[in-house]
Amino acid sequence: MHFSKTYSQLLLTLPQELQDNAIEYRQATINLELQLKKLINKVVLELSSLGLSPAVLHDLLHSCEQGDINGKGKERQVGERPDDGGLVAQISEAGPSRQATKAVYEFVEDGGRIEPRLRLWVSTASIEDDAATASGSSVGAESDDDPRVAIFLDKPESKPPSPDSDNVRTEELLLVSKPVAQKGQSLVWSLQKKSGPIFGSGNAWDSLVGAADSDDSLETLAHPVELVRKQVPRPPVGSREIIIPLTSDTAFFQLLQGALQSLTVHLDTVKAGFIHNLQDLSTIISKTARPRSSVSHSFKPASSFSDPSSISAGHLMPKSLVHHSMDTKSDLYAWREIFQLYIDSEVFESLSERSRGERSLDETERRLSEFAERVSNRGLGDSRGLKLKESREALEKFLQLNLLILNLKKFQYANSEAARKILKKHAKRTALPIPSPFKRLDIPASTLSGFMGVIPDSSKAVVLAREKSYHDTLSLLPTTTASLPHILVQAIGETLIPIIPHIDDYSCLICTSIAFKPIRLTCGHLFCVRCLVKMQKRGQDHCPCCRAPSVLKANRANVDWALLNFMQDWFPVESEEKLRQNEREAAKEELEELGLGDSRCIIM
Amino acid sequence: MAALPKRIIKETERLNKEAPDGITAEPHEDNLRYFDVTIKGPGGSPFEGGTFKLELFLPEDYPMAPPKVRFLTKIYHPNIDRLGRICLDILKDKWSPALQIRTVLLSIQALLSSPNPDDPLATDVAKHYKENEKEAIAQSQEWTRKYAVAG
Ligand SMILES: [Zn+2]
Ligand SMILES: [Zn+2]
Repeated sequence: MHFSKTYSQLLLTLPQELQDNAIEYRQATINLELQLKKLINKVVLELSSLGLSPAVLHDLLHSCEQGDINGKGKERQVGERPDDGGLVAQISEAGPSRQATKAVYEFVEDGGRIEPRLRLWVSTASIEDDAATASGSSVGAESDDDPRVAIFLDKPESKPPSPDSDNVRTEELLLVSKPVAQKGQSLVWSLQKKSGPIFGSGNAWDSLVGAADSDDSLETLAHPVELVRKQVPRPPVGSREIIIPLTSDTAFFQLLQGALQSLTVHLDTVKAGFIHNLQDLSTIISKTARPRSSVSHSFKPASSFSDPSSISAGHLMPKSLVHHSMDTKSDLYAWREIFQLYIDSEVFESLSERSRGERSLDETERRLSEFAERVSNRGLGDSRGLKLKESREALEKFLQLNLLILNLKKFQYANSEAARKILKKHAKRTALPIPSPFKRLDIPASTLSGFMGVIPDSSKAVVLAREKSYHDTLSLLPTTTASLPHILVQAIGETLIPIIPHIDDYSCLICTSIAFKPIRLTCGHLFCVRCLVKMQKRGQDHCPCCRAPSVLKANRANVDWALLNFMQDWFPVESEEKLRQNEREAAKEELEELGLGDSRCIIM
Repeated sequence: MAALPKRIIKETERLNKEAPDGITAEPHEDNLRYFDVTIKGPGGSPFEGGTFKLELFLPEDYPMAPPKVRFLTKIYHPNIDRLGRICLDILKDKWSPALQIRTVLLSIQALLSSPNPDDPLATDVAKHYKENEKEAIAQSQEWTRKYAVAG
């Protein structure tokens, strides 16, 4: 079995559970997208039939930010466009009694469902004053064939009409009722007549509109109005408030929300399966990467009763013998090397100080295959490196789990891309800003900024300014999906990696080699015997870590026997190597002290 | 030459892989115990905008003995003398074998941020700092512009 071949096979075949789901999900996503697109069309139709075509709606939402929510915005806008003779300037001049019509796109939570709606304030004064003189082109395709409701653009005298130019928002915008409606009657009344098919059952609509006139009856509504109340600015003086539930829009968000929730359920299943597999794998690796004491009869634990001089390189087996005895019964060293390669590869997340965090898809894929290549190149993927069949199977399983995380990342990216696109389409077609909870979808920051660019500045500001009030609806949306790959990567790190003790956790801070033989100072800090002997010879008494005067009084009683045994058990090769090096160094030092050192004596 | 101790190899690798902000340290090819160092003047200090060159040498008994470090770029600082020698406790009696090249260079960077005229090496600079701090800082800034800014 060639390892790299196995890897490419693995790449082609997703783990079964995800593979099945992927196909199923793909079909479901295509259907979902179609339905959502249809609903967007319906939303546009619904709004247009109210005279709220995207262009009009954009201006209404815009004027809301200008006039009420953001007082500073008003002044800033005027300052930025000194020659602006239209709406903006008029608002600031006219005072409270002549506030222009405003709209807010808001969301109420009803039994765990998100219901979007529009809140409009119609200036009654404006209607009365201007209705008689109102003239000009009407906007909104639907309003033409419905005489009861129309929205007019009343152009200032000084400006030539320019319906096609993009400075629509500089023209004064007014909601007026046409002569067909009784003079002085509110737009609410007109809208009410227009109900019916668009709003579904007329009753709910009637009660809503009827209730909008008095604060008391608001309380009787099915919607948690208090929640909404806190979010919206006080209606301007002399205006009427109209709340328009958006039926198609509600259907849109419910469909989207439902899809996201079933995704969460699906991902929970994937997670449970992953954790189960991970625990199995952990058991296998623990069995195949056993320490020396469990595979070698020659291992004799030392204790304070042992003759310290017997703990020498000679006591341990020769290196070749160590390897031999380990090789046949344990893959400890191979697994240690594999895990080290894995940690160094930083496949999913960067651990460097500069760029900490999750990696991109491409980068993850590249690093994962690089890791597999390294394992393969070092012969760790076949019987040369892993002597036990169980080990080789476990390695394959280990790679599979990593691939699953990679595929999960891809899957998640595709999902958030799809959601992002449909929301973008929604915003573009309807002019309704994207509700902030959806902005928290797992969308990379770079695409998000491009994404925000398509939303008109003003509506972005409205949504952002009101971000806090969306916290209640936020809880409805799945939030765990974003970090699932991260959770699984962590699970690998916490379950598998600690099976095999890492040398760094047992190294001497001074020489950075394994702290063998380990000496525990009275202050509690641990160093290798060799480094402490050097310090003692120099008369340095202060512990390198805490500066406690504990070095000079250290002696054989300070040997940490338990740790010494542990090191010989789990790091037989390193312990032996260090012991030999210590002996070489000590011998060299003795020679130097006798004046027989290699280089120094020549100078003398 | 004797083989380079494992510790020095490890430290060099890490310095190369992720040096602290504003600090570089590269060993000479022919002497791996000798490092060319640069430290950027910390923001808000009179040395801001300057890049200071230093040399660092790891003696034979490192890490039992501290590294030897010296400024090569002229600097107007109460704790650094005309020869570039640095008055820093961890380079002398407060040295610990647990400290590293990295920690030493970070300490020097911190010394640039907070000159200590009460423990001077360059007594004339320290005196200047104590008697007329504003003028002394201006002098440090001028030296930085003059000697530590390339081009
Ligand atoms: Zn040591
Ligand atoms: Zn200590």
